[in-house]
Amino acid sequence: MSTATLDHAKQAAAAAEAAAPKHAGLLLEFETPAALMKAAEQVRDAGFSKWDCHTPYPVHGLDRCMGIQPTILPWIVLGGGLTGCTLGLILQAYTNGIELPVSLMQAENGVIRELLAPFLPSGYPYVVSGKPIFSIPANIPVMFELTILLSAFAAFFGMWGLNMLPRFHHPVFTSARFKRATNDRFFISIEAEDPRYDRQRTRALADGLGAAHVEELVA
Amino acid sequence: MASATMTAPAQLGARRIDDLLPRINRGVQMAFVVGALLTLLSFVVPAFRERVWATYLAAFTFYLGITLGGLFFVVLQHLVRAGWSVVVRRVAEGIALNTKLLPVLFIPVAVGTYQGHLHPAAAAHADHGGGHGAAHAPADPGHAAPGGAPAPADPAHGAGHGGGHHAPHAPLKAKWLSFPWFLGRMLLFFAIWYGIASYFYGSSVAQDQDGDPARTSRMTWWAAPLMIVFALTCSLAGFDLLMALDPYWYSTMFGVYFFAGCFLSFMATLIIAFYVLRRHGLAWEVGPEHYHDMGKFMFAFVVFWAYIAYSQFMLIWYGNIPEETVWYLRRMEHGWLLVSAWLIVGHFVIPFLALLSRFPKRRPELLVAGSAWVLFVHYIDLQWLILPQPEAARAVPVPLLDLGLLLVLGAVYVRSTAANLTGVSLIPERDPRLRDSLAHENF
Repeated sequence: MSTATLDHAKQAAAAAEAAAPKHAGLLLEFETPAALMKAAEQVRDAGFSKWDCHTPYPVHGLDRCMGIQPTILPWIVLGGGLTGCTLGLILQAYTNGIELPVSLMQAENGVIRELLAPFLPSGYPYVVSGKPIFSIPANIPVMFELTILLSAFAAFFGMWGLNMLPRFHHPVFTSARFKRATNDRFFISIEAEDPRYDRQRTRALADGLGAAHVEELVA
Repeated sequence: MASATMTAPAQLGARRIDDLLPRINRGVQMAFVVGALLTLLSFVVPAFRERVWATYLAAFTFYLGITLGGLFFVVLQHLVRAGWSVVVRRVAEGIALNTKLLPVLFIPVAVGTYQGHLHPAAAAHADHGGGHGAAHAPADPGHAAPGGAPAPADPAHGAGHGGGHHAPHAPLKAKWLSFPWFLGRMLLFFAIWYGIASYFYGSSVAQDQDGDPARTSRMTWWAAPLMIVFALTCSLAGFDLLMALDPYWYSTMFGVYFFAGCFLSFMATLIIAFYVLRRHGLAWEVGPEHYHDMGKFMFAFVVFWAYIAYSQFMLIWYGNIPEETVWYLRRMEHGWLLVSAWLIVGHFVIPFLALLSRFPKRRPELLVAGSAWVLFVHYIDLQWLILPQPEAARAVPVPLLDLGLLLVLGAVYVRSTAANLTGVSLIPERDPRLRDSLAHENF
């Protein structure tokens, strides 16, 4: 057999493997939230990490059964809010002509100031309705709005980041039964990528969880 | 599912305040005696005497605010068909029903106003004749500070109005602020509030007997128009009681400011009330989930108060019109600047940071500490609104008198609330949404 034929055979096998549906995990279907929660506790105790529950409505207490840790999202939002508040203050100070670091540079080292000058557009010390150039009462609305804006951004995009969104596909969508996850059925999906996942043993575990139906997912 | 918390009504804990009444009465009597002794000092101590009317107004407004907050809470829960709040609603109804007590507590305010100690334009001898009404109520030391030092000159007012004029220029406004109209309006408001409160209380208590869900539908229907009535009357009462202390000054935002303080102090009171009830083995249905929601409400209104307070200040500061800025100028002199600055920290920064996280809202002890703080700073806020106005009272702070009047009125108030809740369940037992409330969970 020539090496060319061998390569060809290898390629064909690889192509066949790529075309064939790949085992992606298990989908367990339950009829009641109570059965789902009981099963979720066992999956949690088995130490899986890449698994999830899918329910048509929020099920109270499910996060405890799944062993989900409290989210760090509030801290991200706090960081976003504080950033916005500071940014609002600096923005207004700068645009009103208060440029503390730049003035310091000017005082200490004229060369640096001259070198940086073209890249440092300056604000205008512009008196509006007799108010001081820089006064906190006038600055609070912008600081407040930027706090809200960056908090909202941090909450929205932080949530996407923590959930690794956007995600356009998931193996559960290959299942026809999964459509009922938005209607009247409760599901647990365990992904094959989980380090604890073993096709035979996990299947045996899944069969013992009291699911109404266990399905192998393909990707 | 949280089936464990979905207890059937028969398994609920103790829900009657009746057995607790003797203990409540003992505490109330003690508070009343101590408070009355402190208040009676005002007959001998000049510093007390100078402050007594203004301090009484502060204490009265404090309890009025809690009552109005309760009334708003009850109407709001029906308006939005809230499920979570059913277990805490009965106590709120009991607090709102204290509107029947208000006309009695109001009597000294009416007397003080008539005699010219409080609202200059509503004093009996204020001159309402025509457009240049030059009433002399507060300008006359004999009336403004009976037995006390002469009223200090008012540079801000003097500069703004050329001195001496204490009734508004506009004849219609002078009429509006005059004593008969002031008294008539307040009595009308008391009647309206009592009507609203007794309707919701009566309907809710009647539902305990017959369990008729149609009552809930009717209350929801009425909640919408009554909410409008409440908004108007609450705003106008704020104008009459506090804003009219300076008949020239006006702020269209003042009613909202008044309301924000009302609801804030009510939420704090409700949290403390349930903490006390639970310590005596009552109302066990109210758990961390409900504390969490009450805490959220309180936190929200800490922010709302700051938002309104700042908005009002910023607009006046920016507009820089003498007849508006005079009100804030008065709160930046005679040491009031310190109180003004302190309010920003104590009424906003501290409770904001303390209540921001989920942690304290789910721990009754911490939340009660926060509520006590909120009530304290709310009272300081009321003093800040009232005391810089009557000239006689400006100089001397007399915390003992505040404590005395707060205790006297508080004793009457607590006794009245307990009476409202005697003989009825502390939980609306047959409300159609009770199960929602019992099974309520926050995310």
